[in-house]
Amino acid sequence: MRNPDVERTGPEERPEDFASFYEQSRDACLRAVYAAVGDATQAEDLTAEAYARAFAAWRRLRRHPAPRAWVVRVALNTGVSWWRKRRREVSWEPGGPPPDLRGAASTDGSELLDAQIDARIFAALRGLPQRQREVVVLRFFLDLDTETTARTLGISAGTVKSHVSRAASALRRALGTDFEQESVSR
Amino acid sequence: MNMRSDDILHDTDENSAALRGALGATADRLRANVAMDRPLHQITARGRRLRNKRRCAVGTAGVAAAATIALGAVGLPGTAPGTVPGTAQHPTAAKDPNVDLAGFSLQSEPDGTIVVTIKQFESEDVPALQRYLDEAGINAIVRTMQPNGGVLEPLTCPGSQMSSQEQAQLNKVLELPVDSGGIDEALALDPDAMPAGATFVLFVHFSPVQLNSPQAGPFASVLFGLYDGAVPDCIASPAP
Repeated sequence: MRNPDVERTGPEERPEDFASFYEQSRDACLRAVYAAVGDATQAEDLTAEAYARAFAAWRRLRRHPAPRAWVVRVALNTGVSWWRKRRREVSWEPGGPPPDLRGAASTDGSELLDAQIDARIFAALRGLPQRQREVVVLRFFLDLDTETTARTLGISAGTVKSHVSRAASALRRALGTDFEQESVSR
Repeated sequence: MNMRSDDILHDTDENSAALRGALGATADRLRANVAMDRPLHQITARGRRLRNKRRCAVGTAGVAAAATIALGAVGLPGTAPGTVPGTAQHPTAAKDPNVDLAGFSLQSEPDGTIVVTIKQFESEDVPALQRYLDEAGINAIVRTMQPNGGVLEPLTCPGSQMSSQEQAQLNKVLELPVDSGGIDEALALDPDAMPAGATFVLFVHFSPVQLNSPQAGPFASVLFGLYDGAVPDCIASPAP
């Protein structure tokens, strides 16, 4: 049901709303998308495209219960389309060079090790089914709670928990000792 | 939700804690090193183009929609006003590629491309979209994937991998993204780039509920492929 008060007010009439939203949420959204795609340039392109769509739909989106999650979701869905289009061109080779990460080019040994761990985690995340990956990104990189994650994805809280459980098992298998070491070190 | 009861029973705070622990250091490093540098004015400029293009598309397609709704009512008296599924169209209306239905729209552009917008798409729209694409010069197979079906399953079935040549052809036929306007998914197809005998494959992956607003479509994503020759059986005739 349309709310005429909302429909009358678009992004042109309330630009400060969107600007404020962008300023407050852009880094968090980019990081969440980055975690899912593992590539800085692609993540920024996808996130920028999602924010542009958010701006275009702002008069409705500004009433969304979790607009940051909407942005991440749109970015990841756009990423699926792009990935599909380019799936032969974009691939991760196990044992190959890690995806780029700002700061990872340091010659410091610990930073290099961290970058390698991050690369393995990003690769493992990309190996998850799309819905599991979305749940993990929203819950653990965008820091949404279970209920908000469920509303954003249109699934039940129980299904979110189930995806968390399955993702934990999958990542444990994919990461092996890294999973346990990272868990213990926290 | 089609979840087994033991799935729920297996969920524990321990799982969340383990995941948070395993991913936490990486998340911290992202916080320290990754920031969005894209200036706001670039975002809003792109957003305005999306919105304006969408408004133009809606304005142009509205005329075609009014005509096809009338024809559909004549052809299928049982069709409910305002819901107008794609299958309700009169056969003669399909010769015009410009059509605006509840589930999807097609709009011909001056450069010869066809802009397809997936909106409140439902399984019942599949044959209509397939037919309109065919008549627009795009030999197409349209398929849907239901919630929890696994978005990538149809793309990994035996024989579904496209060759590099097919991939290159797909990139010539398909332009993404177009003027989705933030809600719908739009793509531009170039019929002239379709090789003779090739088949364009379009998957609409559904989400259980509408995500963005009551006006938003229920689909979660749209996936594409192109096969130059025989389409793999698992796509052409998927198992029920």
